[in-house]
Amino acid sequence: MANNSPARQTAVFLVRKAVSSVITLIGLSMFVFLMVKLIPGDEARVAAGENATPAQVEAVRKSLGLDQPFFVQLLQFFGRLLHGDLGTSITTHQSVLQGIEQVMPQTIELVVLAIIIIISVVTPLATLSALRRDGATDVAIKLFVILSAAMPTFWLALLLQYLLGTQIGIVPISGRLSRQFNIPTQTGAVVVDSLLAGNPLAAWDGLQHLIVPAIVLALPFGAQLYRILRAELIQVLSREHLTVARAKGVPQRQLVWRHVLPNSIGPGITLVGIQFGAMTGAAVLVEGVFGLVGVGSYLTNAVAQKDTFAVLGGVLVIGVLVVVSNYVVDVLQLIRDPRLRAGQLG
Amino acid sequence: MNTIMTALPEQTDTRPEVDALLSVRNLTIDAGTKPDPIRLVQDFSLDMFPGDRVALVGESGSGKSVTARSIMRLDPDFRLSGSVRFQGQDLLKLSDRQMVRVRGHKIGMVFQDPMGALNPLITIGEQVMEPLRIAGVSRSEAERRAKDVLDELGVVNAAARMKAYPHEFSGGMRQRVVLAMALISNPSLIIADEPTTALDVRVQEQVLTLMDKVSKERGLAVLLITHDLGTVAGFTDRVAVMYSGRKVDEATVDNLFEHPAHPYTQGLLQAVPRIDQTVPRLLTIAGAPPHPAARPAGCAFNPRCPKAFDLCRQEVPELRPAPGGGVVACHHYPEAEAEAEAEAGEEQGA
Repeated sequence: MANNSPARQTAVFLVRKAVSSVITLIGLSMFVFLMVKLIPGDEARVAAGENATPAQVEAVRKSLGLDQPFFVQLLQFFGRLLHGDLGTSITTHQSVLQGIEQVMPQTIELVVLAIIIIISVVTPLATLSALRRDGATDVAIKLFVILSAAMPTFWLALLLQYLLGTQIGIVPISGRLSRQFNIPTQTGAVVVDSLLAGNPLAAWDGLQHLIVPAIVLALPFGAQLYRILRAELIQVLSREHLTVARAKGVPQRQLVWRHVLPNSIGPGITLVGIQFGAMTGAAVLVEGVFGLVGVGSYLTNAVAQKDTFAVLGGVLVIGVLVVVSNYVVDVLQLIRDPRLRAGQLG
Repeated sequence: MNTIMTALPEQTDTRPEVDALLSVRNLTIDAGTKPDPIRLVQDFSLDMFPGDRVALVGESGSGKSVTARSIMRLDPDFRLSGSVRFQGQDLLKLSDRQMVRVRGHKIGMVFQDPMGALNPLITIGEQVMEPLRIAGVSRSEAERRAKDVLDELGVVNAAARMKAYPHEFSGGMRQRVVLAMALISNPSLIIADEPTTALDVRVQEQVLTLMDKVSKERGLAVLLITHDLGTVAGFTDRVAVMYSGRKVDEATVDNLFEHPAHPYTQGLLQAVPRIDQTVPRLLTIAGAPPHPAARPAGCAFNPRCPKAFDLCRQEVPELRPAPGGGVVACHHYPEAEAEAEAEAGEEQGA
């Protein structure tokens, strides 16, 4: 029946998810708008500057539209949003979109590197753990994971900075790129820009600056992934189809790669999708310690200065990232599981 | 029995052991941790010759499935001793790597639950082809042979169905796919572990008929693990009955049904409804089999046995010749002559 063909089911699923993503974003921006309005303090006063007279403050209030009723302000905000205009920062008088464009790619670069580290380190560890369940190897790995997750991010960042940067000196202490490199900005992500500029040395330098912050950022999230992946692997390892696969002569290595891992990574993919958003927020601390600019520092400043549009813009962009990463997760799950494509698992 | 030589008392057959396809000797299986292991199977022996069809029958927990899986060494946690010679090669002495080449290639296996037996994420075709692909057969050749074997097993429109996923197949169709995976490398022995138990009756019949046809055409030996004596009657030549980890009875199908030797076998047969006999009331065997960690002294069946006497509660009966020509482990039958006693003595000493 054409109506139930997997292709159609998949298309329906993707459209449904897309619609719910948009609704999520609208809800999110309304919520954030409300929150900003509820924070005590006067935006007009901040914008006008500390030494402004009451008359000047009122003039600024009028020019920013802050004298309008709440719902009018909300509608105006959505109206501008439709044109891709996130408004102007009250403090820097720069376009919010531009401001975020400058910092967002660097945060994404950091988070993506952290996720690459998480996936490439946790997958083999969890697999080994599950295969040697309750054995010495498993216990050792578990201990290692618990210890590394238990260390406070801030303290660990300083420790690694001191050990690797100062004492051993194999990585730079802070910053994003060594001075001798001058890379034209294209995407805003330093490593990517270096590669685009055909400068692998600069890319390597950029990576060295980023690796320790990425490790620090990765540890607590990696521990979560390890736990969920190990549990799922153990569950999958007990399934009958693995015995059947072994009985038909599938060697251990192929068994793990073809029959165990693909069947176990479902919950892990979902988790990493959620972590992507959380890591963008958690990056604030790490960026602070290592002297990196990023969306974290941008948002912290904006909140402190009651810069309504900057906060709104920043949160909204992170929101878009989260929604997009969840969408990507859904698509990955569809690719992975044919039962999902057939609409059997909702 | 008095032929020149090697016929051991465990053997119902007088065919020489060297020609055996599969020759299991004193297979003992332990599970659990070292200080107090649980003995799942004790001194199990069985011979199968090319084209033989043997049933391994017993209640849940009798050790029949464990025995079948251990022939393939599928449970790495079990400790196996004794010998499992297949085509003259002791499988228990092979390295893991060598064992991988036996599984699926020389011995195929069919399982109880066709729903869980297939990987839900991989197409049927890929799964059927997998043993061939591992053996290095080209993709196009593997595809051709997979299509052929699925055709042979009555999967309609096999070429197109190979692109489908397991969830698009019914239980009976999945069992055909499992059978196809077991057959594709042309093994000489199929071990079928309760292949029809999870299927509904009509589909059971289809799958059995199919296995019957295919194994006859290919001259395959089949070791059928089942608790269903009805299946046994139509399908196999010879039956081994297991109780609490030991083989207690072995006979040809006709003998077993007409003159069951062991009281347990007699009880089992009385519990089977038969269309050709009228009985006032279907009998059951009272009680349940003992847990492997807590077997009674003497014959494990003695608490449930209507014919048990003192010796049964003291001494485990060795296998001995049964009147009908098979072997039986029961004190009601006289022990074998000197030859067998010597053999039994050796075993105990070992």
